Amino acid sequence: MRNRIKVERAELDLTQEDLSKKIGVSRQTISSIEKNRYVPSTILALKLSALFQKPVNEIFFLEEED
Amino acid sequence: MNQGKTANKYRDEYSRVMKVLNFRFPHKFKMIGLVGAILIFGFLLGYKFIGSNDLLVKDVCRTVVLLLMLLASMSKDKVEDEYIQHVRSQSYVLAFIFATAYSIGMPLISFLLDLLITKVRDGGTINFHEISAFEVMFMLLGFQLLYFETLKRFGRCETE
Repeated sequence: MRNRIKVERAELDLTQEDLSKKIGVSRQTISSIEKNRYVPSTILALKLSALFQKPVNEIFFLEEED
Repeated sequence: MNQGKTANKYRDEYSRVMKVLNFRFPHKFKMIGLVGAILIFGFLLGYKFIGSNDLLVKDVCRTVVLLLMLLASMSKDKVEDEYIQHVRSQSYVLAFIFATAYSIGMPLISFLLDLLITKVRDGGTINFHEISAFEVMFMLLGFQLLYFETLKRFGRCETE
């Protein structure tokens, strides 16, 4: 699964630290999600969706192998 | 009626299991566990080095080392979020696999070395190196703490 969290974050001019504080996780978590090393839970995906004011499927995308 | 009772029973059991699974000590206990385990392990090594061999002292120290390592293993991280919980469960899986491999592999390696290098002694009998419960538990907890920190490091990023 891919995601465009880095792009969305850049559009809002947020650092990983800022974003992590806003949704209540560690910076490592944001970094791992951006690098596609960790697939977040639905709860976290919905929090990101609310923050970026975009539907979840405009932030996360399935790939062929998913 | 019976189905409702069974469903309630399973729900209660599930919530009890989840309570145990989600139980964590506060973060400060991690450092206490790690430092304590290292100090007592150091004392154990020194105790052997000076030639003392009191089994009671050794057994008590070994048990305390394991308890302190368990304390460190069951303590919260600085920020305990879902990624940390995911990494922790991965580290338990890896620790289980490697501790099992260790407890199978070590006696075999020891046996082969005995056979190939030191040659057969004592009237032709070859002794298997027996692994103690302490050794297995020490490796299990040690691997878990090591893999937890290693996997956590993989998530770090230098660029913002």
